[in-house]
Amino acid sequence: MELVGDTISNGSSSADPPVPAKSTLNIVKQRFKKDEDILYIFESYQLKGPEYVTHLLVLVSSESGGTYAIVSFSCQRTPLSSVNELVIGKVFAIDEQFKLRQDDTSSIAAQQFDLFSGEEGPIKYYYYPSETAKFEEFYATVVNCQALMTAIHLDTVLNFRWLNDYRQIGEVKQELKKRESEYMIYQDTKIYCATWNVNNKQCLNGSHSLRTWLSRSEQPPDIYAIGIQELYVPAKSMLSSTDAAADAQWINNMINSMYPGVEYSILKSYRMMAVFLIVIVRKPLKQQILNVRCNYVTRGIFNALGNKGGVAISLQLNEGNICFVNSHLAAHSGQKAARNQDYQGIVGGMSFEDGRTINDHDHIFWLGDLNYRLKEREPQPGPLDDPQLLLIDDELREEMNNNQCFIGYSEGDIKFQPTYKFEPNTDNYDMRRLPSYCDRILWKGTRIELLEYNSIMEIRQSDHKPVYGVFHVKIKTRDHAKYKRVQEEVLKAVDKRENDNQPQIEVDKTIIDFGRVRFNEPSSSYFNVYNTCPLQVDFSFKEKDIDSICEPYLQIDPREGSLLIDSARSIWLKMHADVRSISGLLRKIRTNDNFDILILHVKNGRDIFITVTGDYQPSCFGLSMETMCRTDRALSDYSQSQIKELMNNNSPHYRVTMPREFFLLIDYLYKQGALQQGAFPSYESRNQLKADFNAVRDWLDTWSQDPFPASVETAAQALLLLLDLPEQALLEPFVENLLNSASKQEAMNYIDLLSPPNRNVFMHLCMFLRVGIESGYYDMHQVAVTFGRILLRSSECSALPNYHSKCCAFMKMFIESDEELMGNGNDSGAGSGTRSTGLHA
Amino acid sequence: MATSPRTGGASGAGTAQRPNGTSQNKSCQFKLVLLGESAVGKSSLVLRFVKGQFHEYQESTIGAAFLTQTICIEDTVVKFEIWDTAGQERYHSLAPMYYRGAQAAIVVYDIQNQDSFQRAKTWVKELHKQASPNIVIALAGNKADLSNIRVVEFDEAKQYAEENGLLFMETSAKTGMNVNDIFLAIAKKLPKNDGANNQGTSIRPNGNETNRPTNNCCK
Repeated sequence: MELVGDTISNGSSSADPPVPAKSTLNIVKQRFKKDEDILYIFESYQLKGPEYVTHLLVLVSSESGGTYAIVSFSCQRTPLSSVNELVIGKVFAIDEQFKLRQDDTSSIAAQQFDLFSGEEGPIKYYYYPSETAKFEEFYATVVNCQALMTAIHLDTVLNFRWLNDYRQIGEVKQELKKRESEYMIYQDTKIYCATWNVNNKQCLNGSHSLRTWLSRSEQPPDIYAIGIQELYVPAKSMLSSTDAAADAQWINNMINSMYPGVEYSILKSYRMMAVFLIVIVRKPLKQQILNVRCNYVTRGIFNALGNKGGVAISLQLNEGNICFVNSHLAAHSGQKAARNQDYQGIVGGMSFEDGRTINDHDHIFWLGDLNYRLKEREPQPGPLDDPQLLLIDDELREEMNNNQCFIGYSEGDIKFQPTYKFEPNTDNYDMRRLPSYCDRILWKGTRIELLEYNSIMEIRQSDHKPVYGVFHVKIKTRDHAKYKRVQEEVLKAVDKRENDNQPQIEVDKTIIDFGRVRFNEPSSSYFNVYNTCPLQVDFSFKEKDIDSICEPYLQIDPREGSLLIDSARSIWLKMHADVRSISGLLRKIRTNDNFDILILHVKNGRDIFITVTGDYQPSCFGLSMETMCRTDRALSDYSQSQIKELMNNNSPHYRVTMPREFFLLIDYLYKQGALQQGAFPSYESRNQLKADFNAVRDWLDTWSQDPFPASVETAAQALLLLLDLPEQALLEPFVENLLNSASKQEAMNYIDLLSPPNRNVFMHLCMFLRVGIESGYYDMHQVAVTFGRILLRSSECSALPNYHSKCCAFMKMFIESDEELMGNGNDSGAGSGTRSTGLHA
Repeated sequence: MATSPRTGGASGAGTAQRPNGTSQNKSCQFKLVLLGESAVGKSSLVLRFVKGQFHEYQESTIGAAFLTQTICIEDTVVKFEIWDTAGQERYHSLAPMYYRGAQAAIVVYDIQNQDSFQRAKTWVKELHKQASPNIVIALAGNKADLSNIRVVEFDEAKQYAEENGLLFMETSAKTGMNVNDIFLAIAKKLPKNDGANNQGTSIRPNGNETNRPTNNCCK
């Protein structure tokens, strides 16, 4: 082979001590099977985020498959020190679809290329400028291999089954295969092959008519493979190539002609036109046989007619794969080239359901009317009873010696006369044809011993004599006890390796404490992750609910990443209880002592829980009116656990009729008189917090005696948020009823059912807005739209038709000047009249 | 032809690969989760089962450890993907992520600790309510080497297990008593048809399944 991978790069720079180039090759070699040759190893790299990951691209050829492939291994370090460092990445079969494309369009680096296969690609690889010469060599070698593959017969099915060992086949399987010798034993099996060109003669009647042909061996065989050519098939059955009726009589006769006293059973019979093959086995053997498959290849006129060609049956007996082929190759003297082509056509075109080809079997038996003749020569060949002399002129022997056909096949000594052409019903040659050894039995594979090979002169129906061959074959078989022991060892070892080599990371803390956390004040914290194992590690935060790895008030950066060996990185957490997330935080606080638990997941490894805690400084924003009405001091004097208790308090007793914080805001706004003008510009504006918002927050949360610290607009915004941020809308649980109320009176019935704090807040608010509208400070429609959506916020109802206009209409009922209605609302005693009414119940 | 590796000849056929599917080669993969109060010995049981080791001072699990162990029963290879979860109460809300989709669970208590037995019962209740309906549950009374100072009686636990359809054994991660046996008993009880095989392939629980909010699952 001219493709010798002379250059095996080890990737070390010149400063490193020189590593013998052989070591990389030897290490990589351990990953491949004995009959696989490494032709080239090219060191490339891939980019994974900011990291460079070395990839060894190994160009390898398989003797059994007769094909080439590139297997890409990622490795953690170069030069390699052990085979365990090689992790199989992609596998590229070099077939018609395979492409190696140099890519000089991209700007990242000139040294890059793509690999494509039928299943993969394009996969991008890079190489260092110093490797350019090697790349060119690698490129040329790959191109050469592909050219070789496309040059061989177009109709040949390329065999890449050997690559399956490198595609996701479990470690256990690979390991078990490696240790095969420890548990495999060989089962002695007798195989009886027989072939006969019956010249379209019908099967003879009589129960043992074929016994002279099929019961010749000393002992009864385990397996029969019987091939017939020129089987008589009625014209109408020719069309349906598997008409069983046409074969039935032959099959019956065969079964009846087997050894008496031994029970045989048909495993499979198969016919393509006049070429027929049957495999019959001893009955008990049947349960040791699996994966019986058959197929055919037509040859003859236009390679399609099927008057010539081959059929084959593939089977697995214990751990051995056996293939029987029966073929009828091109006839006539001088046609040896056509016969060779027929052979190539069959061997290249025959593949079974599982992709296996003829050559993928441990034991192959090829029988049939191969039609090779004795060479015509003057003077006529010697006496017809001297096979040795005749065989000097045998075309098949000559073609095999010249590697023109049946490469790797063997044949036994021929001690019988030529089997063709006889005058039917006699032992006389029909001398219009040169007598020849047309009917042959060949074999290929391991552990096959020929015991007998002969023709049957006594059978005279046809112009051919039948031939048979008896073989002793040692079939690979598992010793169950040994297998079990090895399997257990392998499983243990694989488990151990899997568990010991599990990717591991360490974190410097599992509790992230944000300390004091306040509404509308972001803060950050971080922790570090370290890669403590000898592998690259990928980590990510696991989703706990749909699409969420953490609570909405938290942000994680990065959410996923990779760590090379011995590296570390920080993971930043940002906590921000803002208008969008405060209700979520309060809900969490109500039921938990922490803010969140994050799940840091190591790919193929464990999960680490990261608990996020802090000390939330309670604020009025987000609290329900009920909760605020239970406070006895400023919220700034409450701790997180105290507010938790307060939020979980469901008693109907309230300290005040409405929250002081709400009352103070209304009071402040009211006192601003005309300055309130336009203070509620729109519903949408409520969430864009003003710069002085936190001053208002503190003023409210401390029950400050100081003058109001911010603008009117900020006070208006704070009012909107105070109403909007609690988890439940102020008018729940009656939003739906209220939206559907036909009149003020009907709505009022539901308002009366609200909890006292909510009812009082609502009535007080309406009165305040009405006064503002009457004074011309607010546009009624605008205010109705804004407050309507806040007070009647409902995710269920928002889908109703006209939801927005209904909200607005509802609000208008309550903020229009209507003295009479207000009078009805005063029963509660709170919220009546003016702001000067005391807050205390 | 002559230049291709095809010229190898007969010897190559010897490496032809054997196809899958011989009847004696069935294999299944199961997800198993360990649950139970903190410090009852969940991690120790796994460590004993997987590595044959025991550490007197096993660190508290903060998260969920993942280990695999394969055993052969009859003609089947059973691979357990074991999730050993944190027992601390604060992590309780995350437990469904681990028992969701599990084919088997071992609920562990400490025979010297009555509370841990009560906690085991609530785990069993939660599993019956929220785990997959066919889950095989085993109850393990661990620290059986200290049976002279036990507070949970063998018969009491056994009766509870029988009433609730659980496998039950007293185990000792320290001495190894019944550790392999309890996993083996689970493997025997698990259905080993193809369906189970397919089901068992999801190693990592993913969040796509809609489930109730993760907080406060156990009422």
